[in-house]
Amino acid sequence: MVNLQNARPGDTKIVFTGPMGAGKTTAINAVSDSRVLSTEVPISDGSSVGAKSHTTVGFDYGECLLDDGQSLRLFGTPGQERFRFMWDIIGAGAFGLVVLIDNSRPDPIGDVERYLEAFARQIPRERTVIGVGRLEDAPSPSIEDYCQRLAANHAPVPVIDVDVRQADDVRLLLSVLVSLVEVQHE
Amino acid sequence: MNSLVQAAVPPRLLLVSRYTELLARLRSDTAGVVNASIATADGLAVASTLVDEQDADRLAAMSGSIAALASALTRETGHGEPERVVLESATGVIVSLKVPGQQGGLVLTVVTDQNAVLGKLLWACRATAAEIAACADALPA
Repeated sequence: MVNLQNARPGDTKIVFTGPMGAGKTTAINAVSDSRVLSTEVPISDGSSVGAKSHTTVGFDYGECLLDDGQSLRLFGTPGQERFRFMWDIIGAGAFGLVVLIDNSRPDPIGDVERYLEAFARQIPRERTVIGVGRLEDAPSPSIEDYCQRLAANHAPVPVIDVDVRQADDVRLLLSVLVSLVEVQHE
Repeated sequence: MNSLVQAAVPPRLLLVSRYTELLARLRSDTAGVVNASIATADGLAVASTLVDEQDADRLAAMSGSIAALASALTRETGHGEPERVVLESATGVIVSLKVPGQQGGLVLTVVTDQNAVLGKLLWACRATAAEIAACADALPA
C-alpha cells in the first residue's frame, strides 16, 4: 500500500475539472480548510448557467485535510474548451482527477468522456472519480447509465451523486479517489 | 443616407469596428508592434489585428487568464490591482492591461518584436486602453 503520509508534494495534487457551471469552484470552497485562491471574472456573453454570474479563467486553489490526516492540494480548472491550455498546465504532475458534471446539460455523459480524454495523457483513469450534480432536477441519465457507458468504452470509473455545496459530499469524492490509489498499490 | 445606414447597424458592431481602428492605429504608430487584440475579461475575442480567427481566439483566452492570474498574484501579496503585465523574452515583449468597464471590463494585449522600445510601448498601450474605455462608456446601455 502506498504510504500517503510520506508522499511527495506532487502526489497530493488533485485536479477538479468539468463543464462551466458544474461547481468546481463551489466544491473547492466547500471542502477547503483555508481561504481559497480564485481567479473568477464576470461572465461576458450571457452564457451563464442559472444564477451563476462569474467564471474561473485561471485556476482555483484550496487545501483540504482528510480524516486520515492526509492533506490534499486542490486545483480547479476553467471549464470552457478555450482554456484548454490551462488544463495542460494544471494537469501536469497531478495525482488524481475529479470530473464534476452537471446532469442538466444536454449530453452529460459525453461531457465526462470529453474531460477524461482531455486529461488522459496526464492523469491515469485509475485515479479518476466522477461526481454528478443536479440529479434531483435532472434524474436522467442515472448513475447506472454513466457506469454502463463508461464501462463499455473505458476502464470503469467510480460515479457518485454529489451536491458540490455540501462539504461531506466533496470529501466523499476525495476519499474515494485516495482509496482507489491505496487499493491499486495493495 | 449615411446616418440611416449607421442607425441600422447595431451599436455593438460599431463599437467593434471602432476598436479595430484603434488597434490598427496602435500597430502602425508604435515601433515593433506585431499584433494587438482586445478580449473580454473571461477570455472571448472582441477585436484583433490578427487575421486568423483561431489565433485571435487562442490569444483572447490566454489574455483573460494571464490578467486574472496577475490580479490574483498582486491581490494575494497586498498590492491591489496590477496596472499591466509585461512579458519580456529574447525576441520581443508582450504587454497585457485591463481596461475597466462593465462585466469585468476588457483586456488589451499587444505583442511586439525586438524593435519595440518599452517606455514608448507602455505609453502607447495606456493611451489606447484609455480610448477603448472611453468608447465603451459612450455605448448606450
